[in-house]
Amino acid sequence: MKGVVFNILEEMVETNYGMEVWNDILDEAEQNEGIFIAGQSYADETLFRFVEIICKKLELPSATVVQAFGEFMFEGLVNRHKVLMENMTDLDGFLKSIDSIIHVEVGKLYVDPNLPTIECFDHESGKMTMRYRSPRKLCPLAEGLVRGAAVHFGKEINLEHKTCMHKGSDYCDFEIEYL
Amino acid sequence: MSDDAYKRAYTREKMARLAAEQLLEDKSRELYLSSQQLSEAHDELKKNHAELVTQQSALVKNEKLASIGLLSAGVAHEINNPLAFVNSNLEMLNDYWQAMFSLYSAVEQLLKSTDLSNDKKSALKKLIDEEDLEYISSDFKNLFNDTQDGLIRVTNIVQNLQHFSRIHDEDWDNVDINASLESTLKIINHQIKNSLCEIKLNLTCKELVWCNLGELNQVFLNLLQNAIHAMEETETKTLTISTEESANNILIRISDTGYGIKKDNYQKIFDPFFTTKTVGQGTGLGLYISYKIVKDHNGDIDIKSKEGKGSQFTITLPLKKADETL
Repeated sequence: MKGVVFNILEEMVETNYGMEVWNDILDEAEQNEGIFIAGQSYADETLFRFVEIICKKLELPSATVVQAFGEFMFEGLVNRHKVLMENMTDLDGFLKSIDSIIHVEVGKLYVDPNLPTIECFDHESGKMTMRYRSPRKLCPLAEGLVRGAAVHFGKEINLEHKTCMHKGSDYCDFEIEYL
Repeated sequence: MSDDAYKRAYTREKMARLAAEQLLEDKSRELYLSSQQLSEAHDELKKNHAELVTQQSALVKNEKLASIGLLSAGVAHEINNPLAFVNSNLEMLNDYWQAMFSLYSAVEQLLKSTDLSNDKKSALKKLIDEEDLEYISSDFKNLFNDTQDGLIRVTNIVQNLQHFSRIHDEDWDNVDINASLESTLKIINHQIKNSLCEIKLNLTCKELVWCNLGELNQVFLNLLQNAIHAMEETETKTLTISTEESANNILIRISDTGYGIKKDNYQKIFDPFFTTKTVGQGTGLGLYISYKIVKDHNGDIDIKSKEGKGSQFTITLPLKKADETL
């Protein structure tokens, strides 16, 4: 996992609960230095450990925390990568361009970024299915990111997590309805 | 220091870090794009280099053929003059010999008659025996014929060598290549019959071709004779000749089921004096001349061959005059 994800998590904790809470989380996770550099890769387990500690502190299920983090992370990523969002004007166009534009651009910045693959399918009803594949199975984060994106573009959506990798499928399907 | 001061300093540091990261990203992106351009330029260079190598080897080959052609034409010219008087003198010597032979025959008749005294007869007989004139008179014909055959071969080689510098514009015309192939087959009809080859024709090109018919007939003759020769010892003997149109070109294919061409010889078969035939059977000039003629027609010869299976020669010629295609 890239350091930028840890940076945004730190921002989220500091914004909502203060610097001390983040320090406590670092202590509890036995991260003495607690330094995360945006372009550097860190063990996925470290992030999962942070999430675990946060869940315990907030007494919330991990999916809820990870999803909330996804929503927060979207704006954090937008602030850091304004260039990527320059030509993005609507939510649907953005979601459909994740694989072909956003991930290509990310590939230019980071060596071996281990990105998930995203496919989008339109339905006649006007709904859209977004298919997520990643060995990390971070579908709650992906869901949070989609919700964060909807907030960013000022669009209300209904999102249903129809198929899930955690329930034996090879991919996760999010059915998105634009309201 | 108060907490507030620390917080302000922390916020400043954080902003500085974000700015530094932004800078790093911008540089990374620039680096990526430069590397991409460099890699594209490198690929382009590699492609150009490969093309250059191919062109260079074609140039070297053409240059080699051209200089050998020039040298051969020069040598041929120099040999031609003495060859002319050797030929004419030989004819003259034959006439002289016929005269001497008549005399010798007359002497033989005389020896059988009673007109001559026995002393004179024995003197003449002794002279004939001493000079071995009986043997000479019987051997002369063989010697003369072999010499004449040899001279004809030398004359053919010299004429072939002189061929290069001569392609006369006035001999060019719009020609039906199919008819030309059929007439060439008629010329070597006896060879085909003797070789027991099966001939398959598939002449579909309906367009006329701007060419020097005499020259092209020579090419067809060379290729057809080579094909027949290649099938001398093979079980299947099929000679396939086809013509077809393809993008303003005519493709003429001559395929055999002969012994094929060794991979090592691919590069050499168009070189002058290269032959796999036994000494005296081939001059090694046929394909060289054919190549030269086809090149003079702005065409190309391509070979596909599998050892033990056969060979296919494809001649590609433009249908129209070079200036008409512009």
